[in-house]
Amino acid sequence: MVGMKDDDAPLLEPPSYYVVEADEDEDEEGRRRSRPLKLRGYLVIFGSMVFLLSMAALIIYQQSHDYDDEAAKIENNDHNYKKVFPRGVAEGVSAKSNSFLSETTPSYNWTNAMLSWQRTAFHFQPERNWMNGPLFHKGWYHLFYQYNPYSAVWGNITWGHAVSRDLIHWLYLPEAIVRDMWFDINGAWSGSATLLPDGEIVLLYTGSTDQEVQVQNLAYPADASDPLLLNWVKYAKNPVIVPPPGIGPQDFRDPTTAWFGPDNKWRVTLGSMVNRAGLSLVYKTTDFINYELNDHYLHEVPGTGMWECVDFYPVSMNGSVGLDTSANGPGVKHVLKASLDDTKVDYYAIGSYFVENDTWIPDDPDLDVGIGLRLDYGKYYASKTFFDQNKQRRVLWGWINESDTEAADERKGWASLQTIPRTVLYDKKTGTNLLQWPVEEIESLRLKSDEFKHVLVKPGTVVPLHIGTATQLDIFAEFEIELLESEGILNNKENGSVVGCGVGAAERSAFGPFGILAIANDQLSELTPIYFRLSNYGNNGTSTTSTTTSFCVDETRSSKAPDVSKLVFGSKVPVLTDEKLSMRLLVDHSIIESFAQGGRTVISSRVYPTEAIYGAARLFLFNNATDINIKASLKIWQLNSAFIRPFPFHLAQ
Amino acid sequence: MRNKASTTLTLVLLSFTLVLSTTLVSSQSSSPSSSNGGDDLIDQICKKTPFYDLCSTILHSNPLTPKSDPKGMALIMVKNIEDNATDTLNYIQDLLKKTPDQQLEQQLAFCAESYIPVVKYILPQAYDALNQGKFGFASYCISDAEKELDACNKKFDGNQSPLGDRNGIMQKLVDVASAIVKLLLNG
Repeated sequence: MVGMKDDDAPLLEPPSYYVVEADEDEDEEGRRRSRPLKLRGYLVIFGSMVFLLSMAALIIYQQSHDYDDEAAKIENNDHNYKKVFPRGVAEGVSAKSNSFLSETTPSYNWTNAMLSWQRTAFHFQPERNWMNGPLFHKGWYHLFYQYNPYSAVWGNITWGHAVSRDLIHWLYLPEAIVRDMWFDINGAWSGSATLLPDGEIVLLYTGSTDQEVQVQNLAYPADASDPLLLNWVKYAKNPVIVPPPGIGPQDFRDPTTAWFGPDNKWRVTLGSMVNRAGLSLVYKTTDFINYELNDHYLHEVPGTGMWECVDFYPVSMNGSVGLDTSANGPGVKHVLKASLDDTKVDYYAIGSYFVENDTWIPDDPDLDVGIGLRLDYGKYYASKTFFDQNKQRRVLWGWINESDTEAADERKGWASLQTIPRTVLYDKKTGTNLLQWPVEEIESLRLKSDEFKHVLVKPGTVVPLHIGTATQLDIFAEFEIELLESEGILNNKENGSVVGCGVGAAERSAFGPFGILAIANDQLSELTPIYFRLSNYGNNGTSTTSTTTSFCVDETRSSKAPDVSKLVFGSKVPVLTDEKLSMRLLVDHSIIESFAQGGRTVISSRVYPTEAIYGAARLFLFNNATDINIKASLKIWQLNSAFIRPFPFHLAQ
Repeated sequence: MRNKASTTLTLVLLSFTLVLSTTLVSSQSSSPSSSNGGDDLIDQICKKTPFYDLCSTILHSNPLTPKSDPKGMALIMVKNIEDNATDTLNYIQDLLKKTPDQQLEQQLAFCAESYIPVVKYILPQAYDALNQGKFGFASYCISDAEKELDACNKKFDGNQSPLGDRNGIMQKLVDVASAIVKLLLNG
């Protein structure tokens, strides 16, 4: 069933077509996330993200920490291009369009077939137009999202609303909150919900006022007994919180789900910035109408810039269940997460929370918020968790923007989507990472499966996996390494010093890259490698070099079109000695979510192929290492569509 | 003389009572188209559902069933399903505790997972929606309930389900309720 390509055929030659790698401006729309308000007994999570108002053009800056990701290598090329001002900047929000394009970027002749293929089958995305917060209530999961009802580009942001019984099959509802008051006329941005003990739901969200000042507003359901929570009422005396002294009027947004303290007060935190130090402010309240600002910040990290979409929640150190947002005590650590406006990257850190003064410190200051671990090393932003009291798990949503042009988005009629929700657990094996994993309900989409065992992939070869259509898949793969006898190489020295992801899958080294080619065509003219690269292998006895394993996704050959972003994303991933190398991939048309080692490192990518679409998309194994054979075992499921559609209300309701 | 008269009277009264009660009893449990001499609204509505006998029996035997209010009939039916589902869920959970068979345990656990939201949210919401005249939402909830019951049913091969008749009956009840609500939707 599995064929072999010519052993000697060079694999994955460097791209031969011109790729524009300009300064990538990944400006994203505000996200709406509502955070669920936690009730002591219940946790309702509501996340919505507030997008940032910034006047400056955003510069994406890649950090080059050894430990850190190698995402998005940016090479300033020599070409003379004018900086095109992305949409949104004039209105004081972060740029929402991709400004890697310049006036000299050739635009591709997209056909309607190519564009319609891009729409995903089982990821949440708007019916149309733009989106960029979750809650479980009376048997329904709610998602509120930043939505532009008029266009597939950013603007006119209101609260879109959708419900689901199972986090997978979503039904669109009418918009929940529109911008109709002075305190939110310029944007009904992210917020969070808290479920009160008496069953009431309270929502805090950031509004951009008629003066474009960021304030926090209160809203609540018009009818809390309505399982669909269709209608919402804004508190008449909004805003309930305005920027305090010392905080800029446009550096104050995204209130979190509240958590309860031993002094019988709720706490809410918001992101901000002072002198380029990102920080998290804490407010206390008993009634969600009156608030006191704490003297101390929850935490602050110099040089990280504005913190958007702050998220703060406990995790159990025994790593087996999710915790209510108010949980605390021995055996509990707290995660602090921020979306960095400057780089459009989501960072998190694990640490300890001191409820006595509402402060938090990271376990490892070198891995502090904004300088350490990322939730996702790909195209991913404005994420937010909620506590699902129904199944006692913490669930993470992430917003994935488009990496193509606005013009293409307008033609498609939609832009951006949400990841499949992921459970979040503390990784007790490493103690330093969180584990993310797609919610189990995704299994309800499974159709047929194919299994492959110990498929041998020799160096420099590609092995097709004959599974039929390859655009909607759930792939589990394990890799075993066989050191080739001819070399006794214990480390990488003689094969150059390729560390980490390298410039992509075409760059060969002794012990990598190897992995899977997804959304690839038979001719391999378009392909997306997801791979591991090891720094060394074999260490028989005397060598003291430890192996570092990198997990990467290479978009550089994902499409022939020049007007889409094509970067290499990745990071090191801890691999324990008793673990096999494993990855799980969710492939859904133009999005691929990749999970390594049970979710220790995750990468989301967008791909926009022109040829590897519909029936032409295939799946392959590949091994571009020089010194090792690979034996891969896989189980691959075809996934059905989730048929996300408007709620079937029938006639007059 | 007097004794004979009172005895006769007693006998007449007794037999009258006997006849009366027999008539009452028989009229209560009479078959639809018999002693009442024609279909009542319950019959008319039940004829439009896939399981006439079941529908009629339930609605006629419940003293609370309104005679001329289809919405009330739908409510009774949904309540019935809810009671049945709660009962079945308890039964499943009992079986779960007792069974040593691992495969059966998994199947039952799956069914419990299917029944819990049905009992906890879906049917109560269908009931409330009906009460409030939100027939579309009620219809949606009922079909959701059906999906869950179906998913549980599929876990077992035909004859070997320990849930035996219960699931089967509930499927029918759901079909009946669904049909009544559709009548309401269509006015």
